[in-house]
Amino acid sequence: MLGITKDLVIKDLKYYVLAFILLLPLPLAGDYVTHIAIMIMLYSITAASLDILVGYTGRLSLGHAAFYAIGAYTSTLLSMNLNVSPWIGILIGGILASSFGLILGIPSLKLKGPYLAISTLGFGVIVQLMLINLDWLTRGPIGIPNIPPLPGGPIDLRIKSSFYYIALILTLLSISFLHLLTKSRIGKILVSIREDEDAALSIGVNVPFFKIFAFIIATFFAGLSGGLYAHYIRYISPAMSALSESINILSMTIIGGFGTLIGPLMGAALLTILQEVLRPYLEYRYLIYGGLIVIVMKFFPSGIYGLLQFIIRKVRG
Amino acid sequence: MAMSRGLLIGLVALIVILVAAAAFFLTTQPTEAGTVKIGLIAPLTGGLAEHGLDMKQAALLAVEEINSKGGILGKKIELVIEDTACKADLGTAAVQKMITQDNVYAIVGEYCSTVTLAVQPTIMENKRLLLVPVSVATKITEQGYKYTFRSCANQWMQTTQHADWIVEHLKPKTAAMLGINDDYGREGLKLWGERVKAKGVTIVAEEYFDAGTTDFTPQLSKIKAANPDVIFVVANIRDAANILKQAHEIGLYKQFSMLGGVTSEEFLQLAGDDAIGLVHVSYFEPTSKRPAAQEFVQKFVQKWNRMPAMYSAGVWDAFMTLKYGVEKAGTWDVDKVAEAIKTLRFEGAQGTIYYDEKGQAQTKVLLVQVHKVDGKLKRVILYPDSDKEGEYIPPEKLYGG
Amino acid sequence: MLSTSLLVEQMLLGLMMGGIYAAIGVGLTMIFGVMKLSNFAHGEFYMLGAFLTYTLVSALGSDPYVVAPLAAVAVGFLGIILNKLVFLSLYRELREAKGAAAFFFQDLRFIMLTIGLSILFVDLALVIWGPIPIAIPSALTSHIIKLPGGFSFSLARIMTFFMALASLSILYTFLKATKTGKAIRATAQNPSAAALVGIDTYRIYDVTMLISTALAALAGGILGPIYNVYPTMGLDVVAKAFVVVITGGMGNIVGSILAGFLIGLAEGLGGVFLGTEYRQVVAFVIMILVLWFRPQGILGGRRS
Repeated sequence: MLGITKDLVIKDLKYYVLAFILLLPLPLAGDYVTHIAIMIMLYSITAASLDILVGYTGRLSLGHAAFYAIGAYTSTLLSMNLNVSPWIGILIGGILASSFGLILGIPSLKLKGPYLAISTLGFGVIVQLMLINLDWLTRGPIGIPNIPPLPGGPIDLRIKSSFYYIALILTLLSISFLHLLTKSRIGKILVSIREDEDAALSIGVNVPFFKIFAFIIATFFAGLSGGLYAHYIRYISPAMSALSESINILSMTIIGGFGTLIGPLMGAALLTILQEVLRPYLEYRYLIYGGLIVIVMKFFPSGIYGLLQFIIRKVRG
Repeated sequence: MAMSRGLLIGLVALIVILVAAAAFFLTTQPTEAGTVKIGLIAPLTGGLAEHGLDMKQAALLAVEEINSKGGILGKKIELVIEDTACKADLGTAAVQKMITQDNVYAIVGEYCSTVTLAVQPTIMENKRLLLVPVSVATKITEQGYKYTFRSCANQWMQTTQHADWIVEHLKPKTAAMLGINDDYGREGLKLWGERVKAKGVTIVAEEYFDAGTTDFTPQLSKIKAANPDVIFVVANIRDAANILKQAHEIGLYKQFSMLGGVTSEEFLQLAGDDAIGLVHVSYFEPTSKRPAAQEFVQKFVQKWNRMPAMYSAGVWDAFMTLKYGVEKAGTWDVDKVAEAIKTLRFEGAQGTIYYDEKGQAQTKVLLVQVHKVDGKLKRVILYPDSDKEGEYIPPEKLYGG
Repeated sequence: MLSTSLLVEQMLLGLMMGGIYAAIGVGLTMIFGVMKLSNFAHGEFYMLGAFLTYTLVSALGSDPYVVAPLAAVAVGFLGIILNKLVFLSLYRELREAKGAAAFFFQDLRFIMLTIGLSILFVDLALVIWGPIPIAIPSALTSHIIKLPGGFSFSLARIMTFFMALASLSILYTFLKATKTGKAIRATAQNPSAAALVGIDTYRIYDVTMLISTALAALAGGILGPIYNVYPTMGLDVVAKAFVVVITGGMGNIVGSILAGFLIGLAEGLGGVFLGTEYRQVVAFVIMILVLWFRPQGILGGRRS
């Protein structure tokens, strides 16, 4: 019914397993590289989730970091104040984030393009201001340090290499789930909404339902990765919901190549690595970062993924 | 789609592993035998870049000074500088890089308390020394970390000494408070408010402003309506200057009082004559006649052609703490050095530096008032008596009625 | 204890600030109305105007209120250059694109591109002028005008308000009365029809960009003496500018002007009643409410 056949799942499964095996030895490169890899994975989940909303359904959101922050704060407060296990806390974080996604999604139904973008921007800023001002709950602008790590039984998950494997498994699971979603009938419905909303409506698609569905899925995964982040870095603050963070995530999605799910992964990797590689150029770093965004947007709007496809096509002749 | 997306995932994974290997080999910095690396994290870009600059210049000067005298235990110091833009995750990545790739011995930083708090666990778990030269959040030295030392006064010290002086010398009946809506502002207002309330002062207004605000007249006009005897403000240089200007603009001429953040020449330039009469905390005065302070100021001016701000003094003292600590311990062993630092007592730029059990330097806080002397703006030290340079002038004398 | 004088003072201050919001918002709404471009780099033109004013004041020794219009024009030309270099090809692609997906695609592209420009300009300013905030000296800041009722404002603030008001009135007349002004309005309403009657729409885009960026730059220059100038100052105003634009109706110039004053006023009152830390929230809540319940803005603008 959903258009997912066993063959479809198996076909890509072998590549996910291959990826898993290939990425196993990464921690051998040391804690710094492992840390960067973990951050890339967390951002990958967030950027891919945003792609469902922006790339596939065509609903531009400039406030995605808010859901990331909501997931992080939820899991943190639950584990620190109510002794809830972080594993469950992260899940609840995702659920709460998607509830907010629902709250934002419903009134946004009739908004399009820049109007939608700006309302999500406003939402992100309001969440940040609330996190700052409701300090009896959130401890205010200084944030919350000493967050408990994920409990790993006999394994100490504060050790970066151990956490890496957990993150790797969770990331591959999330990405494969989203990937499956995009290949299913639901994915095709979302794309039809992006392409031509009225046409989709006329052939019987329940457009409002799927718009909200996209919001919920996207914000759920953002909340999940936020919770993971909280128990890894073990410090969170309202700055997580800042506009600059949302823009950071959107940049990864767009530069990677929107509407492709894999593009955002590449975007996440590229931008995170770039940030580290450009360290020696301190003051000029943002000149390069900004310039990169401008150049990609002007000349390769389909992002890196699009560029790669173009090259492959040329090579194949 | 020219290629199965699944295949692409596999390809991406392959590329990732290759890049990781490359990153590892390319970025691991070998340390020359005979040098020791010390890291500095500071906000070199972003809204606080000016303070990052203060820190960077002081660090470069300190390292140059230490190396010219033979280094520490015969080894030269190599400074590794990373930008955090006052962001916790950039700070964490920077610190991780410094520890893993650069193999730094110790880290000096940061400016933003939020970044310092975020990087503390990583640094402590890796058994490196952390010297905090600027961040004032009291929590930083209250968490029981053995290797954390703070070379500047924390917010509790600043605020309570300041409050005590105000109550004793100005004898206000009412006070208003205005602060930036972040950790620095909120903690400051909370501590100061509690302290003066305990001494019988009534708080008649408590206002906040968000970062990025340029127009303070709404808050100021509310304060004006509350008619306080004294107004306590916690803000960064730029905001503080605007607050004073706008206060005078709307006719608010009461006694203003601030924390240490405004101790700099740039503040006096920005605020101009509107700063006259302001009473504030200072950890460091370039006019101080103490020889250690003079030495620091002269060297700084010679190298950078500008007067050092307070934060620069904190960074300088942090590096000196490290130098003397290692020398006293006679070894680079981190545990022994940590113990040695707690027994140190030396003349730093900020005053006599010695640390308590929690790693908090017990620096004396100064109280100064801005006067106009010979046509130029100058900070005149009012307290403590040992450094006193002049008398307090109340606003009625300065502005009339 | 809410005195009338406090209320009145807050309202006056709010209105004065509103004039500035209006000036910045108008430029943004014009770009959206005429060129269908959501310019997230708008705050950076405001910032560049302030820095350029400072540079001119240092070089020529004159008062910023005299020099700010010059800086504004210079920034306006920068806007045109950007138009030609970066945006022009995108307009063409937008024109030829079909369907909702293409529109979305181009829209997103513009937004991301301007975001990239914003990041670039902020760092450029940091590199050129350094991170330390700068005060633009002006003789007018020290002249305090005392009004009846115990209110006092600096001459600089009053001058800023009047210059903002003046430029807005000039703009309004320009759009209503002159040939180019009418052409701009025509292009905003229906670009293809405008092209059909012989209007060179690309030239109109250039003029619109010039006016819009110049206005923002002027706002930056005349605010410089009152507040201080630093590279990230544009980021602090751009979100507010969008609030103004949405509330007034995107593309609706009179709407933006009114909305600017309204937001300024609402912020002032919100600060009095809710507590000043909630001032920013007030502006954004207004914007979200407008978007959810009356997306065309209070006066009705164009829908996407």
